[in-house]
Amino acid sequence: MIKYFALGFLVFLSLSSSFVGSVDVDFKEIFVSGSLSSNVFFNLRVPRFILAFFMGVLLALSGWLYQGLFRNSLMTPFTLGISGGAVLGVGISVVLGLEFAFFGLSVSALFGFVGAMSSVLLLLYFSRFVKDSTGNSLLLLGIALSFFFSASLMVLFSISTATQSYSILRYTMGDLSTIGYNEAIVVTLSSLLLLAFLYLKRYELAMLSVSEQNAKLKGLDTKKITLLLLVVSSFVIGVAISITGPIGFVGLIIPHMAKKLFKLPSYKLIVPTALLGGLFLSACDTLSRLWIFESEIPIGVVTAFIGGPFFIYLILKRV
Amino acid sequence: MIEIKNLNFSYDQDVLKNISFKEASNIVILGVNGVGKSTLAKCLCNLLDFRGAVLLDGVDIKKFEAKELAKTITYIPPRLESFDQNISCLDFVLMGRYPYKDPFSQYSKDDIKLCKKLLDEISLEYDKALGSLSSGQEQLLLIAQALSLDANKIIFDEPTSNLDPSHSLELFKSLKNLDKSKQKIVITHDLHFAKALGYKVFFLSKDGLEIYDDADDFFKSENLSKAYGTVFKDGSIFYD
Repeated sequence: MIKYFALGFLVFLSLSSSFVGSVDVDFKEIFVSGSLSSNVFFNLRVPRFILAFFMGVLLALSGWLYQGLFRNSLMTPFTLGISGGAVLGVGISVVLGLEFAFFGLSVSALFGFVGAMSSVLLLLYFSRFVKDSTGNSLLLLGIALSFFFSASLMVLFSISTATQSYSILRYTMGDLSTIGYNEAIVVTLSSLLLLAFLYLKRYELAMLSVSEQNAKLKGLDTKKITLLLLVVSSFVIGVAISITGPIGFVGLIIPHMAKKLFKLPSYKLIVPTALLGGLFLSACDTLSRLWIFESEIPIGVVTAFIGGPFFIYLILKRV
Repeated sequence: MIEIKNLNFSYDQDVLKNISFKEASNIVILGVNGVGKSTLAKCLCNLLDFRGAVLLDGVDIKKFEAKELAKTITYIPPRLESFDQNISCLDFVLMGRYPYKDPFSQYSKDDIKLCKKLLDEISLEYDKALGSLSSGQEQLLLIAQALSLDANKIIFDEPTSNLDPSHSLELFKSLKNLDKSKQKIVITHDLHFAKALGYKVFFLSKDGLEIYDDADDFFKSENLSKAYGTVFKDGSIFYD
């Protein structure tokens, strides 16, 4: 019962997203062309909702994928250093003063993407020398990379101006504000691509979620499939994180939540995890813009505030 | 036919040293704990990075395509270890049909029918989650999965270690009734089970492999005592 109530509340919060914010949207004026309400609703709120929802889908799916692929409950793009790489890339572009747009996407987003992909390539290169297949060594490599990226970011902070530092800091906390549909479309396509790809590979992922030995014995080329999944997922995550900045906890807690709520084998949780991720992030986005706060709270702060205690609850309940 | 040439494998220290043999008939592999029986089995399935050569029906295993290797040889571990505990018994057994599945389609109706039949034989519900099975049921499920795979050579690693006497007998009968063209390799510490099977005995020790073409030779008390370094009487260990 509580489960359905909580889900219902999440859907309500998610759907209210487009009606919450610093400017009040008048229902009657939404479809009056040229009105402020219509402008705010269709050019700011709706694209923002789409961006938040599909970013949530993407983060939740990537967490689901990494946890099953490496059979480790802590794997996410964050713990693997991919987000750290993106932040460093954006930091470099800000310090270099590159602030022009390229095919509708900012140069800093492109730098973020290059940063995310560089960390994936480094991770893949190092993983060739790792014998342990449980993912623990890869997790440690990811954490080591994250530390390296954080230290590099500190160097950037120390040589940047106050405005540049603020700009980088804001990016590290995640930002879903957007104007128009370019960014929302890129993130939507990225998440749908990942969803389709994971669905296509669901039987292989089911075999890997038992054990690597089980998958190999049934004729799965585990090295090849792992590499393929990592490259495809890192590519789309790199694209998305470069736009919104890193948003923590979604990739970590949503797969666990889906497992707890639906009690299904992980390969049947692809779509529920995706939906839950989308609802969760868009609901968090609504909370971040509630009128009780004087200004917008960074989305990463909201997800961490909700995700942190919830994750502790899950651990204590031994999920 | 399984052929091994100068097989060497080490974790931190050498486990298998210069093992060589060529065998087409059924085998029982015996040996004390930690001597490398399971390691040898995993090398035969290319699960470990070994030195030397393993040839299956004359073909080097490193040259097999993954699905072809799975159809040629399989290994049934003594315990089921799964990260995902919610997978159902039917889904788990169906994984054995993966090498036969069209890459872009679902498992066929025939595959599902076969796997349901295998589960019926061991009286397991199709939807039961892996996490809720007893260790004996896990062992039976692993065997069912391997049978759905239908490989030419099957390695059973301690198949009776979690089974009660009646299920051990069932397994014994199944092994005897299994397609004669399949080569069976059984790793066990259950000497009565091993003797009853009547397969050739490979005794693995730190000094290498000793092969007994006639199993009865090995199961004489004096040979057992020598092999295991403990006292045997009338073919059984002497508890005193």
